[in-house]
Amino acid sequence: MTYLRRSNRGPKRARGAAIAAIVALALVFSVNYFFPRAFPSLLYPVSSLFWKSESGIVGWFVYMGKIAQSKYSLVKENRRLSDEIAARDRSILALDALQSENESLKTALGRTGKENHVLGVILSRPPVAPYDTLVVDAGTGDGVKAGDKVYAEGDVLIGDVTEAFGGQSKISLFSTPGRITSVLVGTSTIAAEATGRGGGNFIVKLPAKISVVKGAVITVPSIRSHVFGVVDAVIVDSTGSLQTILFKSPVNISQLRFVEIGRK
Amino acid sequence: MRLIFHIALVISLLYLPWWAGAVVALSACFLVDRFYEIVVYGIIADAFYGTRFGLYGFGSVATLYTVIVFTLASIVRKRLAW
Repeated sequence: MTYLRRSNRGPKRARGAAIAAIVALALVFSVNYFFPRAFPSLLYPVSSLFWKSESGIVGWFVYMGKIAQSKYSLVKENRRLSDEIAARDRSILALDALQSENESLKTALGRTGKENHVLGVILSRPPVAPYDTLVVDAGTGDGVKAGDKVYAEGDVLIGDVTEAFGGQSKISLFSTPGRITSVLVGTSTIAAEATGRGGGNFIVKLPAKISVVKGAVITVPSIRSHVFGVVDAVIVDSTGSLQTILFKSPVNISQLRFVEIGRK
Repeated sequence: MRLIFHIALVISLLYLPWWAGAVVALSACFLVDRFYEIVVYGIIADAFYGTRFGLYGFGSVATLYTVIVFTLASIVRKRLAW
């Protein structure tokens, strides 16, 4: 009986291809690890075109659907009024913070915390981004640089610029899971460290004897007071010595279209 | 099939929630033989959206996810003689 000799070429070629693929992937990873700006610099200009077209295409479908409901004008009016009410609610929150700020600033006349703001259109946001990051269409060409603070709805501090490219910037939200930010709790401005929990949510631990109520405003230590969050829940632990304060940003990141970047 | 998954991955990377991209990546690894390219999508996702803060300080979540999914899919496909 004659047997055909089994060819060893197949497995050898497959192994060679696998090694080549692993080496190529390791190379790509190394480039991204050692030169983190390389891929975004190359790809952001291309992806920005798609992101910009997305808002137009999605917006068109949304509006066509509403026209089909023959209540387009009512929907539009309703949305406008809802936005107005939400903006006014936030303004009221800002007033509390501004009142206490005013008192403390009387002794520090002559100092201003003015910044020039640049408007940025949000190109990408959570939940598309697996991290709590935004990509906006303002970059170094508009004077934006790493470290600049980012505000929403005028006065709500939401994050800072971590990387600025030619025409785009990457913004890390303060609510990034695990990120720690120094905050002042309530009108008595108790200093604390807030830890991000994602999606605009934060957690703070304070001694239980400090009185914090639901709805209290959280600000950040700065010459200009900016609303950072609003207390959502206060939970006292079983020992009664500590309390956990859960608070969230007053703006809904998923509904934002623009942010303001404060240039120093 | 491979090309369709590439298109789906690009769309999910740019427009869809991250979890939809994760499901597409998982499906691609199990349905396409030796889908090494998935790791490149993970690296690009980290480059696009990741910052030095990462998630609890770890900035390569998407890359790690794709490597794990690819490895698991390879093992399962080999065992099942897919």
